[in-house]
Amino acid sequence: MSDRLQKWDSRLLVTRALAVLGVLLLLVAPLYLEEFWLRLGFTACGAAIGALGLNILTGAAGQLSLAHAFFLAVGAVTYSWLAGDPDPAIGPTGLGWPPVVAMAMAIVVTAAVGLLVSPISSRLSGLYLGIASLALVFIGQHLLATLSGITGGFQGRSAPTFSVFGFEFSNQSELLVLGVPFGRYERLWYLGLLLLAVSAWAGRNLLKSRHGRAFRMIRDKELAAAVSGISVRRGKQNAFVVSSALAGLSGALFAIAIGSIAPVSFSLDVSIQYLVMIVIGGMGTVTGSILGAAVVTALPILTQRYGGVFPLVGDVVSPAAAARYLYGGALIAVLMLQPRGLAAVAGLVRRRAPSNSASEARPIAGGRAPVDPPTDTDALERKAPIT
Amino acid sequence: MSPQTAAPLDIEGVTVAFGAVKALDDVSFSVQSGHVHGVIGPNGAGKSSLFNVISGVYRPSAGEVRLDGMALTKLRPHEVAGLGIGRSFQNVDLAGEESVLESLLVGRHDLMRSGVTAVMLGLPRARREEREHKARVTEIADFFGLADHLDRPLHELPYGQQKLVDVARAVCMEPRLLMLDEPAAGLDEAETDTISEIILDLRSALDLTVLLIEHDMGMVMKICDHLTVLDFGRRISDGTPSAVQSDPAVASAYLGTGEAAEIETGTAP
Ligand SMILES: Nc1ncnc2c1ncn2[C@@H]1O[C@H](COP(=O)(O)OP(=O)(O)OP(=O)(O)O)[C@@H](O)[C@H]1O
Ligand SMILES: [Mg+2]
Repeated sequence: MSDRLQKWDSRLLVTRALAVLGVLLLLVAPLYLEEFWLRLGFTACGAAIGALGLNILTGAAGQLSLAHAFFLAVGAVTYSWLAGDPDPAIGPTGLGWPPVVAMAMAIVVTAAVGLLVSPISSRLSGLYLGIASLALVFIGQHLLATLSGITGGFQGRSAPTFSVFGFEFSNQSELLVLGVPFGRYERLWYLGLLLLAVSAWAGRNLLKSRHGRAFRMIRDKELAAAVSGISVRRGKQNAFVVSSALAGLSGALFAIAIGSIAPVSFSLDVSIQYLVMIVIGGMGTVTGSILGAAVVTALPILTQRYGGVFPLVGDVVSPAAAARYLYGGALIAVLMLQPRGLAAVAGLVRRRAPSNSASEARPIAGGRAPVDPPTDTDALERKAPIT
Repeated sequence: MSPQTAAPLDIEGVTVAFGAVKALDDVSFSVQSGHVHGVIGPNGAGKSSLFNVISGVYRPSAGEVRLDGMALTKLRPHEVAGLGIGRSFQNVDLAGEESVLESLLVGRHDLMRSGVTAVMLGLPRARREEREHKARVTEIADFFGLADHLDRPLHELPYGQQKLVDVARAVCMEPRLLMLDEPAAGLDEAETDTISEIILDLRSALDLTVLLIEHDMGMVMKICDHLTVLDFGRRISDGTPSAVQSDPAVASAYLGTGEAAEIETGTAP
């Protein structure tokens, strides 16, 4: 038994070491990587935050939403408008707020919009919710096109550069780190990592908490959840608002990454892309959200760039089409080989040590192994509920 | 939170209909506080429907349910639960990956207070609350003999223990009224004895009222203080186990169901 424990311990050690190494690599990456990769990394971080939001709602709480693109749009527009330049000479005006404040407001406003629609969404479920949420995407498209003073209409509008206390995430001011010029994408790389780390930490806290348990219970056994004292509507509402808040942040980061926003960036395709992320990444998990977002973000960009090395790509199929085939193929492969997603594949390496009893007597499901008699019946005394 | 003591339950003229089927037809009876009160009857008699009415899942077309004088019939299920009614289910359906500990903690949801923001930010008070409730849940799990299995996924446990987890989850709600829907179904004799003991110990240790649906007549006769018998949605008998046992209406309801002999002898098959 003890050497088995040791084996698990050493495995844990290896995982820890790998994690530390991974973090270090990510931290020094801007010293070595070219702009293409840094930009991809930032985009993926932003997408991962959005995917985490959808995963809390759809993966953990089981509420199918096709409205994610709408909430991304709310975040992106809020950021771009609030931080935008007030000078009307350069397109649609903004309020000229500090970008940090605008980003925080993107989260708050999007969460508020989520709260606003939650009385409807929390009364629906399954396909009905899916269809109803679809309507939001269309409303969003309409608003993006018509509120041109804020959104820039069909052409869209520019999204202001991010800055914190005068430190600009742009190429404006010269900054050298170890002889490497730190421009826009070097700086954004760290911003993306930091925001993703904080979101992932908060997301994990949430999923491990009473609220996370309530989400999963509502998803798996709604009736049993209610009878156990969980307000199903309240739970769905919580999931919806948190999901919207994260979508708001993700939308703002998207605007920052691209430097502009337009209605096409928030179409139904985008909602579906996010669903794909959480499905291939792993439903209801933080790791799954990140892995799924990384794959779905990187795949088309990488095939676009490196597709030429494969035969046929470029001649018979366009790189964009090749990306789509690959994407579809990957989706089907994951669903067939590991329906619980990439996170579960990663979990094969990184798994909790089993409890002793689990390894000794593995019972046959549905069998009639005797129930252990209570060992100490006096141990359970009447206690006031803990306050 | 009010001091939770055993509470009397009144069922008054409850009627529930599904189309032409009257699952419950003008059913009335009272449950004394501190009793283990059995609800028995042949399959389809309306026992589970009665539980669903009490816990707010079904809305009766007529009648009322009162806990400690307070009407429950207008409340939603989680509000009924919040008043101190814990319930286990006839069919345990535990396919999920959830561990035993997590399943039990679900029962604490309403006793915990931390909001979404507090848990996301990992605030100390949210962590402390989680710790305290885990400690209490571990205590309850220990009582059920489940303490060694807290980290195991529920679906790995043998059926008997899965049923125990479901009962334990209801106990984790710190209920005043504990409703158990066939807790011994599918269990063997030894397991049935264990669950009987657990129910009696819980009643005395936690000062509970227990409402018990059960087909195992041996168990029912042994642990119930009072019985209500339903048949085709109607209350056909109500009284002490021995009075019900000798009620001819009960015998004829069970006639031909194979359980008639059990009723008369009060033994398990
Ligand atoms: N949700 C429902 N929809 C339609 N009919 C229902 C519903 N719930 C119960 N019934 C019907 O009501 C009647 C009573 O069912 P109920 O489940 O309450 O019986 P029971 O006494 O618990 O039976 P068992 O001992 O088999 O569990 C049955 O005829 C059943 O088919
Ligand atoms: Mg039943």
